[in-house]
Amino acid sequence: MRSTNYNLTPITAAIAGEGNFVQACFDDETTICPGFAESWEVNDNFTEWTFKIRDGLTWHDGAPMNNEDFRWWLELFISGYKVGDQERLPGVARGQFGDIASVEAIDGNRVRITLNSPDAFYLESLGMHRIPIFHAKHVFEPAFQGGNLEAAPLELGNIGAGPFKFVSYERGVDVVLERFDDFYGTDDAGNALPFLDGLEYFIMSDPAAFHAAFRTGQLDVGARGARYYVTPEEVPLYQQSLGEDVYFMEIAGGGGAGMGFNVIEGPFADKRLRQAISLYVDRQTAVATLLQGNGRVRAGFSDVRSSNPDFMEWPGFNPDTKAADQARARELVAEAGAQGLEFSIILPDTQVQQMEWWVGAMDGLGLDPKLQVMDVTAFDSTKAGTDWEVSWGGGTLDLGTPSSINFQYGRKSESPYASIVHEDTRIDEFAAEIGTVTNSEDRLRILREIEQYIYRDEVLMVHSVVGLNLVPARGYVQNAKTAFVLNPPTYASYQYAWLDK
Amino acid sequence: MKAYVAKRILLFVPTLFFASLLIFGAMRVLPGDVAARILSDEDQAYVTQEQYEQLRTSLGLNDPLAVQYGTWIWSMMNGQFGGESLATREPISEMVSRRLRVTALLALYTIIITMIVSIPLGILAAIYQDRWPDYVIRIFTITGNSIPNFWLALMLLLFMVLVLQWSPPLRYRPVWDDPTAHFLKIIWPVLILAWGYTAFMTRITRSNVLEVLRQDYVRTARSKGLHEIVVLGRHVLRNALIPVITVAGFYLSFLLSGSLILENIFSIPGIGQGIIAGARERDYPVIQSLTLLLVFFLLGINLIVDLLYKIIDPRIDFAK
Repeated sequence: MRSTNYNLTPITAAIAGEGNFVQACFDDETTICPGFAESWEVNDNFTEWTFKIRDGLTWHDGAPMNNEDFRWWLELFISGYKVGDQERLPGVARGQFGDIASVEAIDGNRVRITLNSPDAFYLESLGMHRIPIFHAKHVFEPAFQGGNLEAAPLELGNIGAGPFKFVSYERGVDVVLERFDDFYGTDDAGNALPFLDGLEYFIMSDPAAFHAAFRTGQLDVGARGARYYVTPEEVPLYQQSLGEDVYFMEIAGGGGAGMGFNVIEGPFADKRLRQAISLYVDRQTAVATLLQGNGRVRAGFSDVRSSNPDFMEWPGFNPDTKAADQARARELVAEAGAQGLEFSIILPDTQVQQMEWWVGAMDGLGLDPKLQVMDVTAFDSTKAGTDWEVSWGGGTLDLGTPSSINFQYGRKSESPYASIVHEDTRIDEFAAEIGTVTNSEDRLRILREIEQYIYRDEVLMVHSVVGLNLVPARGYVQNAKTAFVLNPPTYASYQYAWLDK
Repeated sequence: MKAYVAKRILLFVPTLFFASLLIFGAMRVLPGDVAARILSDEDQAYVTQEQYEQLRTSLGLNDPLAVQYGTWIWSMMNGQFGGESLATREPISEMVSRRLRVTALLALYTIIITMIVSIPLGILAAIYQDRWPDYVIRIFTITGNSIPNFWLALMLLLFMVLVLQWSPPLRYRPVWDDPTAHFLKIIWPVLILAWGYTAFMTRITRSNVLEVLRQDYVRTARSKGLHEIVVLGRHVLRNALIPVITVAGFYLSFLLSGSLILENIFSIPGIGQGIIAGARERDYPVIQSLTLLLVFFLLGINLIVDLLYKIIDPRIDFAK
């Protein structure tokens, strides 16, 4: 099957598997299913997780894969590796694996992970993101011992244990994978996965070339990423080129943008101004102008089903009270003595359209926002500091883990990439509380409290809308699936796909 | 002549040195770095400032600027072309070797088509000055000069989809592996670049031929009863093409910059695509090394053009 993508995520998932110990279930992405581990147990206080690794697993090069491989890989990720005075640093995303005290390979082909603090949702930390087991001990350890501590999967042959084997990568051209016959997975009827003979990802650096290639029948499945998505206006054009032989998979996310405030220094330390903006902007217009009607207003969650049930009744959100809200917003600006206040919003150059909506939506409020556009790299650096008034980045509560709360909404002194500059310890308390709950209902309740606190009561952030993005696929591509999981960066899974032609 | 050549080659060194300082300085003035880019990758969220600094240190970004510059320039001189990419860890020498061939072919095809088309067109336009062939050629050249090549590329893609229901092959293939696939992939940026280049060269050729046609020695040649083809070939072209060669070399720099955009649009894995990918990642060694390489080529082209003067016009004396 021929596809393309703007990053390596789906390719890595195809080679190394769509999870590690566990993974999101194919039929219900919000539920955890076995992955390389066939089962698991947890102690009463959720600090000791034991996983039974499937027997008979093999890496793509034929080497056996067992519990020691998993222990070694996880240790590598969270602790790094040392040879003499040389050191390989831990994985930068090690926080996603939770607060691990120890990892042990124990008898019965099992791995025991002990946490420093209870985490009833630890399976989600393991399974709801895409850090697969891609560092085979028998491949990497000799490289490390040979002095190559920076070894990466690509230079060591991309040995994984997922459904597809790496065949070739021609830089700037394509990546070719083929079916791994010894993959452990089966479908419900017991048929061996994957069904496809192979995958070929073409590297297409320009979206225009991608759309042209798809519409002329050169690709089977499209790509995820801004400008690689098909817009609703383009759907008829695709159908004009391909007739009924094309369908569109929906991926929720993107389309709108939010803003975070510096609430310690500058004008937005005054809560009235933050409230004024939230009250004044008419979010419904963003659905029409940014999403061409293909999306809806959101607050803290991308999946609005998780939001507070009444969030559309909140001040500023309710279309029926918009006129009164806007009048109140102007009063707040006047009360704050901020009429004519000029302020800047920092944003990456990929978000100009979304943020121009905010500028337009504030027209008439009495404030004078200016966009300070920078490239993505410059934006990341600037945002990591505190020298800004308002920043692009609305956050999402969908992940629902303590680390994700802290990362996105945490105090600046603890979380430099947060889109808010604040030192409000209430956020720490929320995050800690999330870590102690043991059932989904309680977790959702706390997440909704956070949403209310951040987006309504304190207005530390404001958000606009969430869109539904379309990834094209040819009609004969069966069972490819884009998942809307708790981890927002979703991708198309081809583990169960086949071509009906 | 030898002294002149030696002097020009020696001038390479300080010119390249200043160019390298400019390139290095420009990269450091720009905000952001590859570490932030790597860490901002959505797959690798949840990083701390400490991890960011660790990564910067491991990539050498916390070294003093003089050390960074020295390390880079030394690796340029010892054949490593700047070491390795910070983002992908590919050795830049391998990257250059792989990408340069592609861009060189792109430029070569463009030059060949340009020369084959522009010189006859320029002569034709001069001979038929202010008559319909000249007008037709003027339309061709004015549009070729005016239309931005990136816009033309997008329109061409759209035309292919809507009218031909065809688009270039997905995979770039080297010419010696699969000539058909190679040309079907690369011909489109070549044609777009060649149109702009041809338009410019045609106008230069036309104006120079017109000027030479009015010279006394051409009138003399005709009055001697020489065939018009002999007059054109022996007396007109030889003199008219000297300035053409000068501007051809100059325009080659535009050709290389134009290829940056078109390689990206048509997914041609050349130097241009490499520079743009490097710029997106703020991959200092890649951008610095590839840009310095382009500077080197442009200086080389200028030198070659100067030396060609002497071959084409023996009257030129470098000693003076």
